[in-house]
Amino acid sequence: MPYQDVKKNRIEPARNPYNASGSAMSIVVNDGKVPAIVRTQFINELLDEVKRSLRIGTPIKLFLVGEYGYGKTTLLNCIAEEFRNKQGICIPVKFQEIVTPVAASTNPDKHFESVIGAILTKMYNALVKEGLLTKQDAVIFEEIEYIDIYDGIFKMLERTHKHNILIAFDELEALFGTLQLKIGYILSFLHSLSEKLAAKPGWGLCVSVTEEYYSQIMSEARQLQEARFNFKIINQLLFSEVKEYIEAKNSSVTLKTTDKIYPFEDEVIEFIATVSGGIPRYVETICQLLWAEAEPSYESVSIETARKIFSNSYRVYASAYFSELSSNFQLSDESKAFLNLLFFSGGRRQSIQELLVLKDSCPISYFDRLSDEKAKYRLKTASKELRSKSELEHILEVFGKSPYRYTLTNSAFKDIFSFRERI
Amino acid sequence: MSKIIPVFYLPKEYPEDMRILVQGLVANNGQPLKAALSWLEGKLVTHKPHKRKPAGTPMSATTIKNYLAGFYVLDIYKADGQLYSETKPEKTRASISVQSKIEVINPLDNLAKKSYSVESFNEKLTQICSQHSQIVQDYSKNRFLLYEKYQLSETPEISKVQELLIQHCGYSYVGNPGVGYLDMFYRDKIQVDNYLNLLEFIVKNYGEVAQKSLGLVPVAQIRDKIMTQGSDYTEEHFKKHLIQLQLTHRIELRTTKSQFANNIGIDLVDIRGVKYGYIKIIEPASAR
Repeated sequence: MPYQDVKKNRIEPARNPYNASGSAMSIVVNDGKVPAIVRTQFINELLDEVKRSLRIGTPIKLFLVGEYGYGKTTLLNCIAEEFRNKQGICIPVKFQEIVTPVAASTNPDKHFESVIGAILTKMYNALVKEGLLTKQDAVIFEEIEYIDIYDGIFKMLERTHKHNILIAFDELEALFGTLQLKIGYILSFLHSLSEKLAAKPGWGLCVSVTEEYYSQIMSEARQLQEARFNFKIINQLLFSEVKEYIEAKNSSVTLKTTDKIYPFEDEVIEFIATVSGGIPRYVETICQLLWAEAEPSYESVSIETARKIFSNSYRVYASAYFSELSSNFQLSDESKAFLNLLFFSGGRRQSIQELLVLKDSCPISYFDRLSDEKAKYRLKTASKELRSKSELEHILEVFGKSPYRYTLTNSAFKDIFSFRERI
Repeated sequence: MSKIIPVFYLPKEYPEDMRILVQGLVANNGQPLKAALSWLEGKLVTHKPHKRKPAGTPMSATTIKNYLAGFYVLDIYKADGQLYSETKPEKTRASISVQSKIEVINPLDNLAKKSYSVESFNEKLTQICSQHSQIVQDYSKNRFLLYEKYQLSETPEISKVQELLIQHCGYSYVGNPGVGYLDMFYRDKIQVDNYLNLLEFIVKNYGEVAQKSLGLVPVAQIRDKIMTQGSDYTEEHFKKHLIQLQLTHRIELRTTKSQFANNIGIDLVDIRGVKYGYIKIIEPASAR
């Protein structure tokens, strides 16, 4: 039976509130629709700070630091929204879009100049598109004979006659992944630009970047950098935040004011929180999968259902993961097959008897044409070995006494999920 | 001088029980052993049916006392001011009087007061024993010798070990199951030695740097430093241990694009075809 909303109406599959690609939105543009995002305390605090700065006119110079999928771009969008609410504008520069043309068309030793040129062009085009500049305004580039880039940008922004302008540089690390650039050059460019903008209190600069870049800045010139930019480190969501996140999303569709977590069951939240590692993009990916896969046949998603769905979708990664585990902790082939079969079962507290039933229907070649008796013996050998390995405690839980029962922990599911990135 | 390995007992297969026993010793530090004994009674249950009693029955006082004697053999507490190894033990069966006043060694005290997972508890206890217990140290040394010189396999029959220890290592008596438990310590120690030692090295040398840079440390930097220090530590060991640390959730390996590495001036380390620039130390690991 399909999911139902608060009025017992059927919830159509298309109303899945989660996004399969995981990213909440990828480009900082004003296309008029801002998807509902879940505001954590961190986001709220940061936005309050931005609002306050806009109100009292202190400069905004933010560096958002976080890993892929932590919600940097989402945050940039939220900040841009604050500017727009004040009749301001946001000029987005997404470096991912700049790097390929620059890399393709220029010599490596000219990469820095080309990037600066590309930034200027991007900003100009964005303003033309917004109707704030016209083609005639290109004249500012000619007025100055030896163009001072900071002056150029400043003059360009002045012509918009806007009090609140946000320049949003998204994915700064993209530059360094493809182009030949000195980290110091880009940093000093950002500093000079932000100093120039400081002359106008409502103008701000916001940059998003991954952790590696931050660690590099910190190890290079600490005092200088820290004083000028306001670094905001984005961390993964805590368990309680994952719960709120899911409640907000689910109840936005079901309209339920109690049991906001429906159609997910309580234990599923713990599963999602562990497997996603609290990373918003992964929370999205996993929830999307669970919501969609369970929808046709279940009233709600129980932990058993979640594990089964997961096991169906990620079997190939599981087998790679168990291979790695085996080769690193000297597990026998029997043990490897045991773990694969346990993952295939998707179940909890599985006994060897229960696993044995699955041996013919599972796609694990180890069990191919193995007699019941042999399979049973090998599973027994494996289980003995697995129980003795202290390294496996965080992935395998053992219950009871002979007959023992086995569960792969949520953290094993997390490892398998993150293995997607390694193969 | 001849050495002996007495007959002694430990619930080494059940780390949870080992922990409870350690807690019992620490909670009654400074008291007669009797106090620890009565503290522990009822807190431990049997794992296998024994003499018609099903698994799950509370352990008898004798069993617990035997285990506590086993812990004494490991030198992790003093009885009446003396460690087991200081008493020049002659008896082939470990024993200790319930009247003896016990005094646990400091590292054990610290261990019991922190709430580690069973797994890390086991590792820590192994570390403590391999640093403070004479019997574990001797055994490990001799066992390694047998492994190298006499090609003793990684998991030999215990009777074979007993025989070789007496033949080649100057033991006058080797009792089972005592030697069996020491063998488990030995194997745990090898595992612990490997990847945890690497972690210790990393935290010691780069912990401070890591704290300032979100836990990130350039992996090539660690490799270069460790290579100049450990003569028989190869790059292959290093890579394997990194993977083991990742699999046990102590670090994360971060893939890095080569151009990015170029720009920021770090080297990449290739582990099975994947290029890593950084490791990220995961919090609990650096707090150890």
